[in-house]
Amino acid sequence: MNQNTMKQKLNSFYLLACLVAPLVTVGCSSSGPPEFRLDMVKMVSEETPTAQEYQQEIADVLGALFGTPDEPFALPETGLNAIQLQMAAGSAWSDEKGYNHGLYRKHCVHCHGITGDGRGPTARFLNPYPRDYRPGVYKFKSTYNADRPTDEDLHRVLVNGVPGTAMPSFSLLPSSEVESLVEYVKYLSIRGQMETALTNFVFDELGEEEAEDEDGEPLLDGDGEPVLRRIPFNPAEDAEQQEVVADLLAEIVEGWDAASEKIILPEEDQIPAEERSDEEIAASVDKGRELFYGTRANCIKCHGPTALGDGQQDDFDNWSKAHKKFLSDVAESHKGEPTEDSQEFAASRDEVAAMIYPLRNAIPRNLRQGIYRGGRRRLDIFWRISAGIPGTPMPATGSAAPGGKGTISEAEIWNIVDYVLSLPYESPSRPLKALPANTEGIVN
Amino acid sequence: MNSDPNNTQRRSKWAHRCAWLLVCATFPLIWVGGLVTTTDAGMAFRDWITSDGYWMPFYPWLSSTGDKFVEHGHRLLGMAAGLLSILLVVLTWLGESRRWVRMFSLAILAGVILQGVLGGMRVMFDQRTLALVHGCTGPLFFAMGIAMVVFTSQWWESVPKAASSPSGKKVLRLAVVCTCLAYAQLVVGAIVRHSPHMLSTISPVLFQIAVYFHLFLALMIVAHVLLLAARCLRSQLQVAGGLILLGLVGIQLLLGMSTWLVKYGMPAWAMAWIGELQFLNREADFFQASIITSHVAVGSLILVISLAIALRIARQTGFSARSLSNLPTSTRLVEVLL
Repeated sequence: MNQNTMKQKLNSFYLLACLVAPLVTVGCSSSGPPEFRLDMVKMVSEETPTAQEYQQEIADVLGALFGTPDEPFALPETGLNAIQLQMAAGSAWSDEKGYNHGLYRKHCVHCHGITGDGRGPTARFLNPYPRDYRPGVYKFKSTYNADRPTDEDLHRVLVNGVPGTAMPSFSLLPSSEVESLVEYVKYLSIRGQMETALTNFVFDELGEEEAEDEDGEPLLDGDGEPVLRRIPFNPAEDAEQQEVVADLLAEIVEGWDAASEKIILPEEDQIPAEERSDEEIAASVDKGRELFYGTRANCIKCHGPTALGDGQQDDFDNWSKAHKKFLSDVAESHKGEPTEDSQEFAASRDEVAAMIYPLRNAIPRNLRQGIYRGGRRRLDIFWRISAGIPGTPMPATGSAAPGGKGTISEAEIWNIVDYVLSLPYESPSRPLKALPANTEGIVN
Repeated sequence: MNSDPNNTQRRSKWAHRCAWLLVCATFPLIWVGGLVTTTDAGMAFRDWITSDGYWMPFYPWLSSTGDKFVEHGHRLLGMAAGLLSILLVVLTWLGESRRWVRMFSLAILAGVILQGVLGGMRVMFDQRTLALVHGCTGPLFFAMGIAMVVFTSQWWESVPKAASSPSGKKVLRLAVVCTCLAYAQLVVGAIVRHSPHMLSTISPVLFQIAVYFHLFLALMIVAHVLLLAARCLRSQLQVAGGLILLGLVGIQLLLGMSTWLVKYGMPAWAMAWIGELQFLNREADFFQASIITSHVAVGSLILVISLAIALRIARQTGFSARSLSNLPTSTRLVEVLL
């Protein structure tokens, strides 16, 4: 082989290598079955720093309780439907009868992520960031602020989508597929809540204890100091831990089971009549406007005096607040003297901090656009005002639990509903006769 | 290749017609292939080369629905492209006297077989990465078909050679660069489409890099195609092709923006200026699927039209591959590009 031919072949090889290298990189990235990932912000936070052995043990317990993304499992006491979970989990394919499997991976995973942490590959580009299912907190629902959503609430969000965001409507999917997805979303939430509960339990109750010999006497090392032993987290071999895990799971499941009893049902005599005269509606809108600018409902604090969402702009939702606190703790830790604990987790904390997406403020809604993310029915807006929007700065103005009393009455909430629904048709530059009370300091 | 218009070599009209037929089958094949990814119908069947146990032509396609209809439609079109490739080889070897054209027809047949096997392996191994590679090689096969149309055309045989000039060389260089950029853009676009469904820890980073690189390449393509169209007009070489390419790039930009909107909604930076989307995206919607898939298909069209322009300018300006055949591959590339 002469030198020229050799050189030609080498050149061809380099060219081929340049073309193939990116594909190999992509190929290597997709090897191995998918796994649920732990919430590393929680694991290395200052509140619940969790050693790697415990992280592995928590992952093992979660694996035993909930299975894997390819083979999900749910204990009967969770009440989750195993068949629906199987339909939603795993990779996307269709069986011979045409039933679609792997629905979550087909429709949801690219935004919400395999663990349901709202950090799928596309999440960084979306506004707002996709929902993190793990805390079990949902914005658009019919129940009281602190309660879980009903299946019907989740179904409604899937079918209607969330207008104005990247969340599409799944109304073209068969109802059975939507129901399977609802079940899988609940499964991811319960799994996420369980992960938090187990992490808290491990941090609060386990750790190191003084080792004892066979006679129950404390073991001492050469310096006469007691020998420390790590208490393993292994419910399979520890009846007490098993009981705790069962209790924690029962508590979480109870919250979901009770959701259907926590629906906010407006009092019938307070619901405005369907047939109302123009004057009656105008009077209700006027009352609503008064409340909007008033100190009790205090809507203008966030939605602004023009209702364009130009009130406060620098608050965060709960998901971002958790990340903000973590980032500020990490920044703070770099300033102070390193402690033994901070040194152990310093590297992991920096790694986790680098993975956190840019924080975004919870910008209040522009109510003049006529886009209602949680639904545009009068009842939907009533629920938003009454229960607030959980996880966001939007507070509840109605009662916090059945039989309770809110800061404003139901009749007044309906007045605000009328005003909010009138806003898209009202010119923002409409001169007001006088600036309402409570605008001072915002307008000026 | 022989560049003398008065040569005694014989071109096959039937091979040319068959090449056109192949291209006309390949474009919808690419479109439906894009639809398979858009609707994530790639695993509608878990078997290959059969479909749910049926030998491909006998699967009751017209009574199927949803993913199976889309995926099997793709398989049938692929089969049609395969049969046309065989016919092309037969007709070329019967009627075409240029040896390199006959060999090229064999390369097309090898290409369609490889592409089919790649698609089959994507199903058998249920691998996203193979789907990505299959999506990248599809347009290459389309480009081979277009090249065959150009090589077997009457125009190729009879076009008068323009005197070799620096301006002609510049236009050729631009057309080659546009073709390379268009293909690179298709590869990056395929990563943008497939990486969100890869479940590894680096998928978010991969997607992010691919999105930014896709935007960067879009800018590069717009600049180069504008320049190419201007140079085509000035040198009066492939004017129609240059203008069609420019038009397609314009359409592609609109389709690209629409694809993002119907898939991922309004970006945060745009929302501050334009406001929120006034319409609601619907998963599996025909409108949504059409826009996204059209973006994929028009990308392939841009590639093949750039290639056709490059080949025809090379022919017109008397560029001969034979003159470079003794040089190493990289030097040959540099020779064309500089």
